[in-house]
Amino acid sequence: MRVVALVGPPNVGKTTIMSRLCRTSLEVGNWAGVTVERRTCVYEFRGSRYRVVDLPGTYSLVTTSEDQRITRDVLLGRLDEHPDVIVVVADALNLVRGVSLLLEIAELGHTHLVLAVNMMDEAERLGLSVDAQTLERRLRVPVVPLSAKRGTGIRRLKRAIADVAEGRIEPDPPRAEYPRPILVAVRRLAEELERGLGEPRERARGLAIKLLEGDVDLAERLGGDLSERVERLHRELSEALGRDPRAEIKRARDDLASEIVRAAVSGRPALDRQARLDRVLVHPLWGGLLAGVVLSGVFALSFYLGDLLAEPLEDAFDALGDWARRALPDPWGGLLGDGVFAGVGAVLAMYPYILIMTLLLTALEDTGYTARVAALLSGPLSRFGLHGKSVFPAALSLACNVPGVTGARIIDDPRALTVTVLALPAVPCSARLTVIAYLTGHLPDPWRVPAAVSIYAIALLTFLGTAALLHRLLYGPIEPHAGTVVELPRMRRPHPGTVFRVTWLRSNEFLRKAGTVILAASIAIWALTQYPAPLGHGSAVEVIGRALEPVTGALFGLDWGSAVALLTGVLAKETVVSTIKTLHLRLAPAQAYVLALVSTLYIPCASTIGAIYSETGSARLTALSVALNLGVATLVGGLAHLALSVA
Amino acid sequence: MPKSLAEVEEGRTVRIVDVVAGRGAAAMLYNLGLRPGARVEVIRSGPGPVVVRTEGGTFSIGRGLAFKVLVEEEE
Repeated sequence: MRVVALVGPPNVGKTTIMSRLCRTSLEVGNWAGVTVERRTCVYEFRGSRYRVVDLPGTYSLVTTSEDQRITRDVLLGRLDEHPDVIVVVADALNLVRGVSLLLEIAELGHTHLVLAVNMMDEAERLGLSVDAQTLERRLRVPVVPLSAKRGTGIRRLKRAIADVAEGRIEPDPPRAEYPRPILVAVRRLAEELERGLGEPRERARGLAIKLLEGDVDLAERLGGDLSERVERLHRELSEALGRDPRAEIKRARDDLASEIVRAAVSGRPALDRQARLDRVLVHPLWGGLLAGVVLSGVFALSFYLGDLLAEPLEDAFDALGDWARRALPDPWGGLLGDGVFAGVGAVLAMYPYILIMTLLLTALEDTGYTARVAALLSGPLSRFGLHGKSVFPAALSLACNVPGVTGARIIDDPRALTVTVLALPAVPCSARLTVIAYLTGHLPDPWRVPAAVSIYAIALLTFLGTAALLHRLLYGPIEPHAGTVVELPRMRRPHPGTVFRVTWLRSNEFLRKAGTVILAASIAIWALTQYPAPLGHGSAVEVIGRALEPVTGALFGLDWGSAVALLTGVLAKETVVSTIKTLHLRLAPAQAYVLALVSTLYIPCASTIGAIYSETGSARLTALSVALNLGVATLVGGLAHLALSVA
Repeated sequence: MPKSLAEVEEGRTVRIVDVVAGRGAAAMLYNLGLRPGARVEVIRSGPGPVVVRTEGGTFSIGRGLAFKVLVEEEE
């Protein structure tokens, strides 16, 4: 079977091309050792089978993030995946970037290339025409114009792939011309790599270029004293050129790419409408107001539609529970009714909210609007070590932290991504909204709403504060402005197929957890409330709660019952409410407020902890997130208790 | 005389001369093709982020960072 790799910048439609190539047989997994999505599929053409691998979107092969590193490593032959043909996917309206990437890949010694120019229909509509033949002649690589959305050009792409794979066409892409001092440095470094590390000649040259272009991660991974060696060469080059050699290398490639593209493209795209839109959408006042309206609309709609769907779901689980308690002998009736159906049902009832909110936010992302909001907020958020795009997972987290953590993948800055994922649990999800609403109901009338609002405000400040703290702990002082560059993709109508697929990917994780972790934990907690004696008569949770009472009493003024509520809340935050109800707890207004505050902040729920672990792949980072939450909640809850008991 | 990207009028096309920002910010800009030598058209300026268009796409750059990108007006 032959292997075809799809490479290209983000947002050029690689995934759509993939679904057009194969129709079925799409497999989604992870790259070995990291949690970056790995999509493959298989198709047949002219009697041969081809396996397509979608490499993570990347602007260049000098990497800044985990997923881009995978693309680079595959192309450097450092991963167990050796493509027979590499298809570079370019956007017809940003052709230079695609061609430049193709030249960069060719430099690593790959000649088995095909250039797929996607979104031809859109380019033509905007008044731009691309002459594929001229492009092909200049690039000496097969060029296939296509529109993945409409499905045109796919057969031609398969033919070009087969021609290259079978050796009928031998591409021979041109090379960028570098200034002499750079060429000399590349040759010297390449010889050292060849001798020292036994790299084959052609690849050694490519590696040398990447190292001089400033790929620090690569230098570290190749080992030895390479980092220092490159650093030295870099200084020499900067002096000889009087300019930054990293920029010079990119410039040479981009210049060649834009010269080639200019020969093949005619007409100027009519992007005035886009520009006019952006003047408004990225305006601090008008754009900000609009973002406020749009995001409030998303929440209102999610909760309105979510309520409609969640209620029958809750009723169904209640009915199932009643049936189990009636129809089955003990302890099975209790186990199913009070443990499984009550626990899993409570969590599953969240799914409609999550699904609708994820759907709406994913649709907004597909139109390109999310990038505009990110651009607006990138300035303030970057001061806390976050990225403009952190706003997307944060918004999603208001429904549920699990899709929020998974959705953080759209952040293309690796540090900001980690910081966002670890700080997200401070954002109150809808489960915690239930807790906050129930507990603030214990307060006298004029105080209910302000109390609830104050908890949200404290949680938001905690999110920003822990983010800044995490950045300092993990990466040192925050570099000003680093997270403020945001690409603005063209605004367009959302593509339903993409939106549904991504929504499903983002939300199904939650369903899977409901069936595994939450199911197990529900049973465990039910058992703890039943043995050795039923709740209220010396069950295990009561014993644990009473053991914790001295701590929660001293810190927050909360007795053993609230301690039990907090313990069970680790499973899923709304359990705090059901525990209070089963234990028939009486709470004074101050106690209710402190308990609401602490339950909001104290720990990510079991599913979120799982999601953080699977996103970061690090027990250390997950533990750090949990510890920070516990610390902050103790501090804030303690202060609130103190303030309220003084007042 | 080079000036900063934040000071360019809307609608003008300029060439980037230098980026005097920290390592992380500079690497981010370079990767997106916003490096010395690149031509950029300023789509929006004024308060808030600066929006520029290059041959490679449209980007928003925080105002603080835009002050650190030195550019030259095209004649």
